[in-house]
Amino acid sequence: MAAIPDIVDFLLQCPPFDASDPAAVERLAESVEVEFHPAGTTIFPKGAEGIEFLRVIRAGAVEVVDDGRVLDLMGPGELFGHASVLSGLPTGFATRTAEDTLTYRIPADAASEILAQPQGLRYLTRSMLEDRHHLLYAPGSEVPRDRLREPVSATIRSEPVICAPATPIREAARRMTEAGATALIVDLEDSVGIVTDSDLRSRVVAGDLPGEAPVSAVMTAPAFTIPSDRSGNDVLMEMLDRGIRHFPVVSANGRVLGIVEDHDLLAVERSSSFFLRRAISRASSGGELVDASSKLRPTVVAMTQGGVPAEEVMSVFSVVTDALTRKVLDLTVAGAGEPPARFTWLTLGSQARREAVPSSDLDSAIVWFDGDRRDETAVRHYLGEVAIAATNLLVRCGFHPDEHRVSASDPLFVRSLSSWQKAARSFLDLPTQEKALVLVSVLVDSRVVWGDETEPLIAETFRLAPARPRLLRLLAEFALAHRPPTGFLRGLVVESTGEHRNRLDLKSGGVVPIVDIARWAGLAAGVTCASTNARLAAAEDAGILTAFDALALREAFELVCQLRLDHQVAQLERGVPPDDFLDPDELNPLTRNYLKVAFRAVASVQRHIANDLALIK
Amino acid sequence: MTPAFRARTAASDAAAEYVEGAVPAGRTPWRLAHFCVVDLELSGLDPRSDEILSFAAVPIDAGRVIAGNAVYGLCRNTHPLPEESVLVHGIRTVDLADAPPLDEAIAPLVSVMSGRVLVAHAAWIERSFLAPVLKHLGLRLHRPVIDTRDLGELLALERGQAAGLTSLSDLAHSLDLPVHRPHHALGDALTTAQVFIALATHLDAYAAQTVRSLGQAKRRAQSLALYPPARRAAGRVAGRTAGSGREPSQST
Repeated sequence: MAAIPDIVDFLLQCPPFDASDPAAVERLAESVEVEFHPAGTTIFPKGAEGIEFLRVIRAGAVEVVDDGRVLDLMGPGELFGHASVLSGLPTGFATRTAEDTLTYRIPADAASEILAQPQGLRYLTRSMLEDRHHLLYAPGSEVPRDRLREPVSATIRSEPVICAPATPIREAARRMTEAGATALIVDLEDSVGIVTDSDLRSRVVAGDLPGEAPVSAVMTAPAFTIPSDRSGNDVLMEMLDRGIRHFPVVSANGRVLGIVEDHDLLAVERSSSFFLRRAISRASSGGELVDASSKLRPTVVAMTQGGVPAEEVMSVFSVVTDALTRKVLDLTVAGAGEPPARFTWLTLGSQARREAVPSSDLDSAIVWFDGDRRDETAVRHYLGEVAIAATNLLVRCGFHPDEHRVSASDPLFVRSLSSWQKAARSFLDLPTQEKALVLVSVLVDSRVVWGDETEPLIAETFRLAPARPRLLRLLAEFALAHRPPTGFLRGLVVESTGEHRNRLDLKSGGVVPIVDIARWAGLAAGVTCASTNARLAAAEDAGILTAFDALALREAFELVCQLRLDHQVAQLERGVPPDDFLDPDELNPLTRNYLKVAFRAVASVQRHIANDLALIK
Repeated sequence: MTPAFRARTAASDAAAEYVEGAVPAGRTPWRLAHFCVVDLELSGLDPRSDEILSFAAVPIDAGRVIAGNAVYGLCRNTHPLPEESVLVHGIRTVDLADAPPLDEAIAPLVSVMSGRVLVAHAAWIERSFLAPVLKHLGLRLHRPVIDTRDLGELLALERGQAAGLTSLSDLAHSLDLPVHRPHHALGDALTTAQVFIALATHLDAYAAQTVRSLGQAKRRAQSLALYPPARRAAGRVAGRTAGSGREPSQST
């Protein structure tokens, strides 16, 4: 009898086996049985007793289900069933295949050699893993969608479990079990640390640490904390952005109020974005990244069809795209060798505003730091190579650079910090120079996605804009250049010629006029890179826009974005490349009417702005 | 005991085991039957002149692939290896220099096949090469031999799709299953075993599958293909009745 090498090799890539003795994994692999479960099969129900096997997913996906609510989605390489195997307790939730799934079934006896290494682990695992989920929710409860708009403090369910750094892991685990918590806070006096079940899964179950070790050995410190007044949606975006699933929530005076977990915020259709985020962060090659990114568009389709509002879908799409871009840069820089100068990679346009949709171009620029003078030619050569390699990998991942060549692979968009700052200041002071307004618009919508975020940001230069009335005036005129279609041909103005004849251009007619007004109004209020909604809110607070106009623009923006996303999702479903050209006949009469009203509202705001400009002339 | 004698003993023990092993009856539901998935790497495709160079077998019990009981072995060649075959599976004469001759090497395969229904992809190859080997040991190849290529074609027809995926890797991909080391007997046997349990599970949803129904997949596919897709529901019932009254399909 011998193990099949293909199975041993696969297990050696999966935690906790990746950290185990290869000879022990080979012995374990001898007892593997391969099972096939078609999609929708319940592998074990909630409350099942006498679970004698743990399972590793070889291909497919398995949902963790509690009373009909999907709590998690597990993919290839993930392990389940081990907590019940080790503790002998009934399962805390059901597992059901989300796709046709191949699993390796491993009998408890064979697994115990690896999984039960430190003494007392049986107890630890029981407290940490599977039986936690049912403690979180009352049976049948649904997380209301509005939760995402409320302050995150409203989602905290219980007092945090707080312990000292020297507390033994075993003791900490016991306290977590008693409290039904999935993570605990370590009090470090001037900051906090956090220990989650996955820390324990990867560190303790793998056999690195005994139960007597202090919690400080497995904690993450200082933990990234969230102020209690941030909205659920903000926190969700932050979680996606950082790839972290638990955040301590702190009050204004620094007290830890509790821990918020992705499950508290996620509706079912959003969980796939975490799954995707994880696949991206695990990718170790361009090929794996291309594979992972192929799931991005299906995720957008699933979320949109699941009724998630466009604004949130765009945020998730943008955050995941950021994560992808970061990984692309990590891989590219690892391949290109040590950079001759530090640099940051900026994302521009809709992606910087976190308003990207599947048709959006991915625009980018590079800033390198010339603080200590370097060989500029070598730096430019290196960055040019990196930009081209990164852009090529992004294209393979399905992202295309701007058709107008606003891209880091264009030498014009690779500059030193001082060169960028000089350019930005000259636009501020001499806004009439050629292309100044276009470039200001591009640079205001810029955000660092890779590299040192502590360096000064280009967009921040434009905080000076409120003191530059001439620039603001020109930007306002610039914002009025795109007019929404308000004529009456078939109820809506459509393209009269060309490839998209008789189609409505939702981007240039709907999105761009609103985004441009918001950018100008935001700058006038001292806001640089931000979402369109945040800019409108700031402009309203600063009295740049009336509350009525700001509301009209917000509502129009919401409608146009939703229509645009629905249209693109329908195209993705048909296997057609997504675009912005909508056939007005596809709209139901009511929606068509709303759209007309929205366009007229935008045109009316534009008239108000034009009148104000005329007055101060 | 000389090594040659030990080998002979092993071969005759395996032969005795094979004779005693009761093959599952045709009516046995597939999940209760014992199967053995076999893959051979050969010097060529002509059973009269070509040879078995390596073999692998993976048993299946209760619908699960029992990976730890897989067997794999090399067989010493008696003729020079054609260059084309080396290019396919990478097995060279030097790799086989220390391998036992076929009659001895094959003992673990015969042992694991005992009491099991044979499964292979494009099974005519395994059938035509194994039958003479078994005959030489005084044994007979059990019927039926199940072909995953036929099962794949049948599932496609049941689903109203075009049938036509013949390669093992295409079939595995179409089922979202992993493809293990291709043209390595153990890799291909594992891939085939996984494809087999997936296909049998899917087909079971259309009609309860037994050893016999899986063995007759080709015939069933032929009768399904006679009915246009629009009449598929009616065709399924009629096809089964018509099929059972017909002559057995020609062997491949």
